[in-house]
Amino acid sequence: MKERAEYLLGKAAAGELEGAEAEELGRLLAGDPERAEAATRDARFGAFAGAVLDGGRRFERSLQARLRADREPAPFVEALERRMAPRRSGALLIAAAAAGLLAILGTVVLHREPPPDPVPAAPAPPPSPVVEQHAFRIHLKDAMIFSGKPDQRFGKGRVLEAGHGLGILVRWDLSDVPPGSDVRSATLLLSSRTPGPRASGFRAFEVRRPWDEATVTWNDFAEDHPWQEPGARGQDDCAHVPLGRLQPADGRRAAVRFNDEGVALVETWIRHPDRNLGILLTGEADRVLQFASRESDGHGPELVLEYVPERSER
Amino acid sequence: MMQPLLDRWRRGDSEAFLELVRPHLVSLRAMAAFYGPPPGSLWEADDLAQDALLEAFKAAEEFDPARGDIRSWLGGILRNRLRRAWQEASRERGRQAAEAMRAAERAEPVEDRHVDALRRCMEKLNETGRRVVRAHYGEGLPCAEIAAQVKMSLSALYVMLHRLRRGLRECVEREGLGPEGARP
Repeated sequence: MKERAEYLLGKAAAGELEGAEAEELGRLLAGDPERAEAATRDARFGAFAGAVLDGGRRFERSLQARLRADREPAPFVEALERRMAPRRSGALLIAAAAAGLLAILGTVVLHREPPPDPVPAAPAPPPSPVVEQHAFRIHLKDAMIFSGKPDQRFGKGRVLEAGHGLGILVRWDLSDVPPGSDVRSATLLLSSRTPGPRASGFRAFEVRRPWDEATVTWNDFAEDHPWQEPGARGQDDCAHVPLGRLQPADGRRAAVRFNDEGVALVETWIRHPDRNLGILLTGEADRVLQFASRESDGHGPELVLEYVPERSER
Repeated sequence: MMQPLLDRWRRGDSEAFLELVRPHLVSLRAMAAFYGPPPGSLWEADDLAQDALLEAFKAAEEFDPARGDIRSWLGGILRNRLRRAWQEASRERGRQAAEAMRAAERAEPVEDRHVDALRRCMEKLNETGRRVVRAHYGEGLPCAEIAAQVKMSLSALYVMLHRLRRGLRECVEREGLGPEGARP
C-alpha cells in the first residue's frame, strides 16, 4: 500500500500520471489528510527544486518570447491565415482523420476535443482489412529556429521549442512506404519535456526549402543560404496552408492530426521523395512548448501513418 | 549603472528589462512555486511568474529606485498575481477565499539561503540520488531516459523520485528554511 502510494506520488512528481492512476492516488490521499498535506508540500517543493536547478534557460526564453509577443501585434500565423483565407474555405477536414487516430494510437486518448470544425465532416470510409500502421522515427531530421538568436544553430540540441519567434523543423524518411500507397491518416507525435503540454495556437506547415539540420537557423535554411524571409516566413520558404493543429495527447505527448491537405502532402512525399522537405511547427501562443528532439534518446518526433500499400478505390 | 538600463526599459526595450530582472528570476520563480495555488507544478508557477513580469515590464514608469529595490517591487507585483490566482482557484474548487488570501499574503521572494539550503541537502545524497535529481529537475529528462541512465526499472525510479523529493524537502525544512507558504 505504502509502496503503491510512493510509486503513484513519484509518477505524479514526474508529471506522467495516467487518468485512472490519478483517481487512485486521489482515493489513497482522501482518507489520510496528513499524507495529502505532505503530498501538496512535496509538489511545491518539487516546483521549487525545478526553479532552482533547471538553469532558467527555458523560463527566460519563454519570458523573452512573451515580451516580444506583447510588442509585435502582427502574428505570423494570423498573417498567413489572412493571406490564405480564400483557399482554406474550400478545405475539407475528414472525419476519418479523427477515427483513424484513435485506431492507430491504441492507448493514446485525447484529453481535450479539438475545436469544432466550421466545415461539415464527411462520413468515415468503411474500415479496410489491408490498412497498415507504421510509425516513422528512425530516419528523421529535426531542428529548432529562434528569432532571439537568429544565427545560432540548434540542430544538435536535445530540445525542440515552439512559440512566438520559435519554430520546429522535422523531416522523415518515408522510403519504406511503397510508392502509390493510399494514406488514410497521418499524425505527428511529440514528447513534451514538461507535463501536460497545452498546445493551442500551434500549427504545422509544409517546408519548401532543403533545410540542413546541422546549419539551419532563423536566418538561413542551410549555411550561406538565407530563407526568403527570416523564420521561414516567405512564400518560397513554407506553404501557407496549415496541415494540422497541435493538440494535447496522452500524458506528456502532443499530436498534430494532419488534415486532408496534410494527408495529401504525405502521399506526395511518398511518390516524390525529393519533395519531402518536412514540416515547420510554429505558433503565436504566449508560452513556449518544449519537446524532445531525436537526440533525446529515442523520444524524438514521430510520424504515425495509416495506409493501404496499393492504391484502391475509396 | 542601473539608470541607462532603466531608461531603455522605459522606452520599451525588453532586453534591458530582462537584464535588470535576470538576477531575481530564480527567487521569483521559487516564490510562485511555494505560494501559488495547487497543484503547484513548476509549469503553473512559471506561468504566474511570467504574468507578473509582463505586468512589471508594462509598468516601467511606476518603478522608483529611490523607494525600494527592484526585487521587492517585483515581489509585490507577483504577490498580487498570486492573490488573483488563489481567488480564481477558490472560485473553481470551492475553497474558502479567506484561506486563499492567507496563503498569498505570506508570499515573499525566496531568499538565496533557501537556494543554498537545497544545494547543501543535495550534497548529502548518494551519487545516484544526485544524478536522478539533476536529470529530472535540472535537465528535465523523461523518467524512462533517466531510468535507463541509472540502470533501474521505471517503477523503481518513480518510487526513488518520490523519496528523494520528500527527503530533500524535509532536509531543507530541518534547516529551518521551509517555506511558510507551503501550508496554505
